[in-house]
Formats: sequence, structure tokens, C-alpha cells
Amino acid sequence: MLKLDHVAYDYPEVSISVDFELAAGGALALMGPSGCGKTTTLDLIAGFLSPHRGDIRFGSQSLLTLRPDARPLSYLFQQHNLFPHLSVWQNIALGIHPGLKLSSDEKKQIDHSLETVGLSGFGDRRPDQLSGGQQQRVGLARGLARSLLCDKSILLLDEPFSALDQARRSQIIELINQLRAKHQLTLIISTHQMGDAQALNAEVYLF
Amino acid sequence: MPGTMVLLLVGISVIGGFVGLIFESGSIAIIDQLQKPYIRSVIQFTLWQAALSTSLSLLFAFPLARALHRRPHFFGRSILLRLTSISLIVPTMVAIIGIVGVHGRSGLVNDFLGVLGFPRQDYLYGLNGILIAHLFFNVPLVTRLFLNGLMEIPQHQWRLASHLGVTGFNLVSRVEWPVIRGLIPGAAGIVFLLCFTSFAIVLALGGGPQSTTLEVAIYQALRFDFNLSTAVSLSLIQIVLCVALGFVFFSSSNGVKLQSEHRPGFYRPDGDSIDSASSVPGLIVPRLLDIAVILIATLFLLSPFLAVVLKVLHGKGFAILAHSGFLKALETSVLIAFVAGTIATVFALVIAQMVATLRLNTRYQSVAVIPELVGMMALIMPPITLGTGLFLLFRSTTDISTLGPALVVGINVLFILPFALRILIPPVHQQKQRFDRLSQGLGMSGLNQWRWVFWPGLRKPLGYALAVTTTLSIGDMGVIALFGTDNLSTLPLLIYRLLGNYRLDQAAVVAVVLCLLCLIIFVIIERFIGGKEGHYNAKT
Repeated sequence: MLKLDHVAYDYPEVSISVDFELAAGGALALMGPSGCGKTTTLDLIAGFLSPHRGDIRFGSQSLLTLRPDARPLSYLFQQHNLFPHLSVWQNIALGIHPGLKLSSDEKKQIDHSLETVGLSGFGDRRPDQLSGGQQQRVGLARGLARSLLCDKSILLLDEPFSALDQARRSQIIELINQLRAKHQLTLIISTHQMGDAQALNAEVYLF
Repeated sequence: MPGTMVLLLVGISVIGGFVGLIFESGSIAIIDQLQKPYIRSVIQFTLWQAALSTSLSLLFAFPLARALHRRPHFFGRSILLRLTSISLIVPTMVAIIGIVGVHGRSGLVNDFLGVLGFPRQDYLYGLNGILIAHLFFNVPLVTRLFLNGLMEIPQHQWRLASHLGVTGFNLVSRVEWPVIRGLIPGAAGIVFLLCFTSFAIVLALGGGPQSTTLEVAIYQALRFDFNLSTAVSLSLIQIVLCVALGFVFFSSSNGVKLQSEHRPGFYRPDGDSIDSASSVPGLIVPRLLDIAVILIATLFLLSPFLAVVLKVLHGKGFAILAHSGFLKALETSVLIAFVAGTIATVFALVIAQMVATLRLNTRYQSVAVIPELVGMMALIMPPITLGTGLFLLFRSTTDISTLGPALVVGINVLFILPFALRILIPPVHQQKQRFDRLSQGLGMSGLNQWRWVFWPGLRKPLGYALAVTTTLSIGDMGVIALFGTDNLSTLPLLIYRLLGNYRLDQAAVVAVVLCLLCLIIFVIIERFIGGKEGHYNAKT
């Protein structure tokens, strides 16, 4: 279970407070107007911000003592998920092993992840040769590969569909649902669209 | 019209230097000269010391820039950053006095070795001294370039690296190196050319014929041996190598295009967070290493200044202040600096107006870069080389005692003009773009247009340009060494002479006076011309 226990983060002008529990394998959609604290909440869980008050626990362990890379999660940012000077394949591999020293099984998993998100054969391309939607799918492929190979069982998605058209959005949502069902991923998504929350069968946390 | 005249004057002066060398070389077989062991050894040493200085500067600057980037809160960081700025503008001779005070036979390092019971070491003069001085000037320069590069890496890349656990060597190779690699050709090019044409440092610390560079060899050939064939040969070789090296370095320079964000470095996985509230406990070893690197660099850059101050505090050198030679050198320094600074600023203003006019005229936009390039022409010829050429051109018609001061001022103007142009071209263009048509529509022209339209907007950059050029000129120890006499001496030349006579205490006093003079002149000019609101930022 992921538990945000009376977590608060103070900006100079405003304070963000959040408090919820999410069962392992569950899904939660963070909703609210721009600036309400959706991304801040994801950053707190991911370790890019430290709460001024409260605790974040996953199972029995507090996440606050862990560095961002040591937390059991994959984070798909709203944009800029890829290093522009590395290939698609290297960008995914970097999420498995920062030195890019991969076993043959890990390499196969990367190919499989690319296939899963519909980008087989795109491994050698650079991010600037892809559309915005394709870049998001590469980020998702990396999240998938990390979940399977690095035991990252929480998936954080920060408005992941904003660069996608309706058809691609539905396709990716379907893909996420399949992955969640298959790998018991815990999902937290920030979104402005109630339809996204419904399609992902997610509970809604309204700011 | 004034712009054309200034460009002609600048162009003719630089080309005149070249022509002077070419005329003189008519009777010299340059290829034969290249076969001479002395000339070959000078060329080899010049290239070798420049290559070593450049490599070491890059090698030391990278960990320093990383340490500064990783530790934004460390208290020594701001001191070191200030030191890197100061070492970029401190007069060369002042730094040399400081370096001798630290690393000389009676310097601080040897004093420390003596306390520990070790014998005194004589390691400064020769290649070691040249390298130490070049590192003093160039490590700060490259560090700032690299640090700017690291600061430009977008926040999202650090965040991504942090999320994926990319640290240590992987962080260097995947995130930092792609940016630093793009900066290296430009940084190496600048440092190599600076070291290749280094004069005062090699002259003061070279220590003999085995450690002589082209610039110093030209000076020695002309000043001591009056061997024109050698001077001309070396000058032409110097120009050819400078142009070739400049072309190689800058054609291979590829700027990295990055999308900088508001708070770069915020998520750096192996450093202190800028937002202390969000800091994740860092690793102890990298933190200690960074602090050690910052402290060593601070010590290296600060110790020469401390050594100068300690020498002054000895109190033995103050007698120089009452010496007529000092007063004469002070007067000459100020006079040359003001005249050269004023001429360079006026020339730069005229050229900047020409550039702005051409840029705003759609028919002539493509040629707008030409006046700027002419203004920077002198950069292809080191001062001693240019001085040699002009001296050879005029020596049959004019007496050297008359020619000397004029050449010192003229060559100073040519070498500070590029700095003034860099400061003045953007604001002059902006002012013209904003107000030229409006003021013409209102029937304003000439002095009225200047008084009411351009002066209010340009006085700050003009004050800054004049302050920079005057300060640069007052600390210059280039062409004055070639034409200096007992009657024509400046403070940097006086420091060099005192150093040659082993009067380090007196040299230190003159060095402090020179520093204070630079500071006072800079502040006064900037305030007097630029107004009370502080210095102009060329970016605004």
C-alpha cells in the first residue's frame, strides 16, 4: 500500500496538502485546476521534493530516506522524458542500467517493450526524429521495462496524454490497463480529463 | 563618412604592419630560416608549452566546474567565483609578481618547505613557471565556460538522470560530456592561442633560451640582437601559425543547442539541491572531493594575491614610491591608457554606428559584418608582431624616440578596440532601431539627436567601454616592452625591470599601486561617464 500521511509542501505563496492511501495494484487520478498541486504531489512521491510535513510510505517503508532512483517507481513526465543526444534504445536501456551494460534477457525485454508500445524498429532513432506521441510511448516503454526488470511497481504519469490525439490516447490507455492487469502495477496519474480516470478505472483525488 | 575613415585607419595600420614585414622579408629566405635549429626549437617550444597549458587547463577546469556546479551552497564557492573573475582582468605583471612570491626561491612554498625541514627548491623558471602562470589565467576562464555549459543543461535532464539513477561516470558520459565536448574546441582554441602568443609570462618566467616562444624570440631579436631577418621570419611564421590554428579551432567548434530552464541544476542527482528543503542526503566521498577541489583551486588562485600583500607588508619596498622612475612610469601609464582608451572607445562608437546603419538597411544587411571584422583585424597579429611590422615600415622615415610612444598608443588602441566593439555594438544597434526613424521624423539630427536621443541610452555602455579599455591598456605589458626606454616606461614595464633586478618587494608595491589604479580608474570612469546606476550589462 502507498500511503501519503498528511503530507504538506510549502511554497512561498501557497501550501499544498495531500493525504491518501492507495492499495497495491490500484489506480488513482489526481485532478484539479492548473497549479493546484498535482505535479508537486507526484514530485513528492518521486523524491524530487521533500515534504515539509508528513510521511510517504510504501508498505512498511518510508520513502523519504530514499534517493529518487532508489524509490520503487517509474515516472513518466509531462514532457522531456528522453535525453535528446541518445537513441531510443539507449534511452530505455539507461533506465535499466546507467552504464548500458545489459544482459541478453534485458536486451530482449527492451525490444519487447518497444514492440508493446508499437515502436518496433525505432530503437536507433533519436528523440527529435519522433513525434510527441511517439516520444511519450518511448517513455512508457522505459517505464514498462523498469517495472519488469527493476522491480519498480509504482507508475507515476504526469498528464501523459496531452500530446496525443484521441485515437492514440485510447490506444495507450488500453495498453496501460493491460500492463497493470498483467504486472500488478500501482498507478497514479495527474490529468484534467475525467474520461482518462474512468478509462483507467482509477479512483479520483480532487484538489 | 567618419566610419569609413576609422575603418581605413584601422585597416591600414594592421595591413601596414604586415606590409612592413613583407617588405623586409624580400631579402630573407624564410624557408632557409626554418631550417635553423634555433628557429625550429623556438617553434617547437611555443607549440609544446601552448599544448601543455591548454591540456592542463582543460583537465583541471572540468573537475572544478563540476564541483562548483554540484555544491551551490558551499561557502567557498562565491569566493572562488570572484577569484575567477579577478584573475581574468588582473594585469599580467601583477599576477607574475604574485606567482614569484608563491613559487620563487624565497616564495611561500619554499618557506613552507623550509619549516618542514626540506631544502629550498628552484622549480619556477622555465616551463614550470610558464605552465603555472598560464594555468592561473586560463583555468578560471575554462572553468567559467564549462560551468556555464553545465548550468545550461536543462533541468529535465538532471531530473531524468536523478530518476533513473544515472550517477558517477555514467552521469559524466551520458549527461555532461555531450555538452562539455561541444565546448572543448572553442575553449581549447582560445586558450591555445592565448598561450601561443603569450609574451609577458614567458618573458618574465621563461628563464632562458631553451624556454623561448615566438613572441619573446621576436622581441629578443629586435630589441637585443637587432637581427631583422630573424625577427621578420619569426613574425611571419607567427602570423601563419596563428591564422591556421585559429581556423582549425574555430571551424571545429560546434555550439551545443540547449533549452535552458529557470532553475538548472535543481535535480542534479549527485549534488546539493538549490532548494535546501528538497535536498536528498548526498554521498560523503564526492562531497569531500568537491570541497577539496574548490579549496585547492581557491588556494592556487588566491595565494599569488596574498604573496603580493605579504611582500608589501614587509615594508621594504615603499622607497620605490618616491623614485622619479616610478612617478614617470605612473604618469606615462595613465596618459597612454587614457589616450588609447578614449581613441578606442570613439573608434568603436563610430564603427558600431556604421554596423547598426548597415544592419537596419535591408540592401546592405549582408555587408554589416565587414566593419566589425575590420575592427577586430588586429587579433590575427600578436602585438609584438604588429609592432615589429610597423616599426620596420616607419623606421627609415621617423626617429624611434618619436615613433615609440605613437606606436605604443596605436597598437594598444588596435588591441582594445575589439573589446569596445563587443560592448558597444548591441546597444548602439538597439538605440538606432528604436529611435532613428522617430528622431528623423521629428527633424532631429547631429548634436541635438545625440544630446536628447542617443546619449541617455548609450552613456552607460560608453562609460563601461571606456572603463574596460582604459583598464586593459593600463595593465598591458606587450608592445611597451618593445619600445620602452628610460623615458618611456609604464608601471607593468617597471615591475618587469624591478623583477629582473631581484627587487621583489618594490615590484610588489608597484603591483599593488597598479591594481589600485586600475580599480580607481575603472570606478571613476564608469561612474563619471556611465552615471550612478552601476555598470551596464551588455545583455540588457
